[in-house]
Amino acid sequence: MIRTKLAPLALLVAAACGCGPARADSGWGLLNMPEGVTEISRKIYALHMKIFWVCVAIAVVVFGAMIWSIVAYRKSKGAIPDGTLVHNTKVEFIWTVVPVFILIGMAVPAAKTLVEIEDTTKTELTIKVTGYQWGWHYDYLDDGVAYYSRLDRKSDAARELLSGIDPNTVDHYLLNVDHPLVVPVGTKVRLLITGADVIHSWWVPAFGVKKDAIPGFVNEAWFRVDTDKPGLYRGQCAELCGRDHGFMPIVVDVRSKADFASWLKDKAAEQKQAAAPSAAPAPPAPAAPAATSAGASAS
Amino acid sequence: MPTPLSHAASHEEHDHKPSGWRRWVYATNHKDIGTMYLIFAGTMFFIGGLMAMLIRLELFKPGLQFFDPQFFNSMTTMHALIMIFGAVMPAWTGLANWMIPLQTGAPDMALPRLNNFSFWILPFAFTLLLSSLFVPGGAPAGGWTMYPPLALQTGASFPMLIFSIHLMGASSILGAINIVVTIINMRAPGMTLLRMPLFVWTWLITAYLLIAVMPVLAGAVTMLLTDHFFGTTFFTAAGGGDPVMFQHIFWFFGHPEVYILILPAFGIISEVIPTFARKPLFGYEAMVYAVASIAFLSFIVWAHHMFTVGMPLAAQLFFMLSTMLIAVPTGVKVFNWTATMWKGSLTFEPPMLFALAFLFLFTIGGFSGLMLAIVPADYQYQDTYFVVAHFHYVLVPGSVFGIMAGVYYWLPKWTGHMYDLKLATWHFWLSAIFVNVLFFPQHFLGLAGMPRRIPDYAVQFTDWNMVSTIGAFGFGLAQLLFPYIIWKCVRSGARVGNKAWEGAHGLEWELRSPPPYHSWTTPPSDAVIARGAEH
Amino acid sequence: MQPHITSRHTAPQHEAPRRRHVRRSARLFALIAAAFYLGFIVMTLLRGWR
Repeated sequence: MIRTKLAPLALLVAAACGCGPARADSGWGLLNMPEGVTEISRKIYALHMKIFWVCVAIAVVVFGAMIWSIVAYRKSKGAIPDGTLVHNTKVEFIWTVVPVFILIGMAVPAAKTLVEIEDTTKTELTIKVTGYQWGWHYDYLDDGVAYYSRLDRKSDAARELLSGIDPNTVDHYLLNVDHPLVVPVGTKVRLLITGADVIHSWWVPAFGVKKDAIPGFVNEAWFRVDTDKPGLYRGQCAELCGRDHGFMPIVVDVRSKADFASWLKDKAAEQKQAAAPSAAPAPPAPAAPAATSAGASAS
Repeated sequence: MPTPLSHAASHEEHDHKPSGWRRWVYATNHKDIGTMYLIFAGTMFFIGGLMAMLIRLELFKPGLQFFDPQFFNSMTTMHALIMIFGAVMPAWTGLANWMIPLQTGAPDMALPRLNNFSFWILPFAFTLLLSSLFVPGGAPAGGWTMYPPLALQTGASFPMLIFSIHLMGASSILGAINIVVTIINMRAPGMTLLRMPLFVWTWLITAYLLIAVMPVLAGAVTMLLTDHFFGTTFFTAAGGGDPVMFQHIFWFFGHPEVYILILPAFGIISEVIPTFARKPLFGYEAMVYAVASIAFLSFIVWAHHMFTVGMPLAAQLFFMLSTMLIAVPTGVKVFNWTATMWKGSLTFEPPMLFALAFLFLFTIGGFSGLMLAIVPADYQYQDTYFVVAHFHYVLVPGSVFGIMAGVYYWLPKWTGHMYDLKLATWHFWLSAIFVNVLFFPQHFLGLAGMPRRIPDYAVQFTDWNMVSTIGAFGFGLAQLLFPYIIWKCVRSGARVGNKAWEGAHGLEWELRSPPPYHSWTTPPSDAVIARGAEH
Repeated sequence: MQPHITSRHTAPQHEAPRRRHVRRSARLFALIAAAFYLGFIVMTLLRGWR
């Protein structure tokens, strides 16, 4: 009995041991939050681990006392109940006050990190992110570059009901898009997040950013990817937004500053050409309501 | 309808009651109504459970094998509504109906006809809700939280959803008023407030919460209704409204609601552990104050459900701190339960087993709750399977195990028969093991980045999802033992005396088993009350 | 309340005040519930107008 009671605790410890950031893609090793590639995401990770270990320590004490009671005070072992043990002001005072101090120890670093997260000053690049049913639209406000980002075709074909396509054969099944968001490393990127129809939520775990995309309101978020961590980072919509909520991933392509600058230049030129009259027909834009930001006001 | 009382209660000649269907349709007896509530809750538990099985079936492996995503969303939405409003809440009301008069020395509930009405609303509410599965566009699929604007996209089932919630709310409010009024006015002389068993105390506080917050939910869905049909724009930005306002109102209801679902379980555990530890509850008064402070705090923590909507820094800090504060009274409760077992004389009958599992697993749910209160970390946890794991740990091994502990504790009292203890122990072990197989891996999935409410997932999440699904089917099948054990107990259990358990205290154990049809027709004497209230 | 229960439970002279208390407190709680219902709708309305 006791062994089974301990099972969740053992699993909890297993979770903590398997928390190294190196274990990424195989299923069984996926036990913990990624450390991520921004200063903020690492701080969140550290906070998460700190609270986790505090909880484990409390669990060892509390579950230890429970297990001790279950083992030592069994009637079958002849335990006689001590009916006088019904109240003890000193003990009750201690277990009311000690947790308060533990909580303060958790709240202070949490508040510090939160203040840093909320500091949206001194950003270097602003991108407007609009969630719609079901995909994302990115608008580089100062550079005249804007495009839609949707689930890539292979995933889209495989995710149909009884498609007959094994998801294991699809590259980054459900986590791949046609046009990723492109950003430079080492740059404080500000996101202005809003929704076109219903509420969505823009989440990239590796950046420690999750913010709701609310129609009619604009939310702010920011991230700065480490200079030595260019690459592709993936996330998903995190707020139920209708039938295809599970099928609107986010991919962020983080490039070196030089690569980003040239990408942005090419993209701007390409979009300018496409927008020119009597040019090639515009790419089929998904039906997103036109009044995206009509009623927008900062919340 | 078979009833635990049907043959036993007819012994006493003054127990005249209507026979046949009239007894149930016109029921004003607190035991009959309690029985109906419990049967209703059990039925809904299996319907909601079936939906959970379908959800886990689709999530067994990546790719869509069975359902359209819209139907999947309907299942998650309906599963939540049915389990919360159809299974757990009516089960608590059923237990309250049965036990509050017995435990306080009252003859019946204060308002028996209102009691009948508040029960009979429920079958209509849930028929309406369940029939929405068959209308064009399918059942509601916007989540049980009904966030606009998504909820406003619901098809023909939208008004059915709103009206069924209005009905459930009316039923809960009327039931809660009845319970408060009964506890205030109907106690036997000498049953002072601080002599009341903790189940009565927790229900008194729960009933206050219900009276305050169910109308708030009703108001929120009324505004959704007028937004949908009458052109108001309470929650539409284009008309000057605010979709986030709905979330604030909803969670002003929603957070006290989670305590409505768990506080009566605290009461049951506080009755069961002393009985099987053969020792009075440790720190009775502290337990009462802890419940009261949890209830108070539950009104000022609601926005921790919505840290990602973009609130001002000060608001986020406030809700983080107030939420963390709840850990203090909750800790007091867990410590007191542990201290009750300390230096006791423990035996492990099924109610105690469920209470012990509650103690361990609810505490795990409490830990993950504390983690979720930390705003920066919550940014990563919000709307992932970590949250799903958290609230299922507090609701299944919390509320549901609490209900099961209560049923196994009082079933001999209700029926006059002992149930098959061995079979019930099997029910316990299967439930306790599979509930962990089912929900523990969901912590990993959430931390690794799997959002909740998705019908299909990236392939790296496959392994733990498979484990979770196996756990779900094990848990679901194990529950079939529960009605069988109860049925067997009603039909053929060995007879028990007044006091079914050696260490039991309280007024309910002073009456014969099953109790007379009208409970305390003569109020218990002060000596009897004092004997029952040994704490 | 079924009279045959109450008449045995307490002496008749205690029964009438208790019934009055029951009704009065039930009405009070119903009023509180109604106030929460209307209060939240009015609050949301006022917020919209601001």
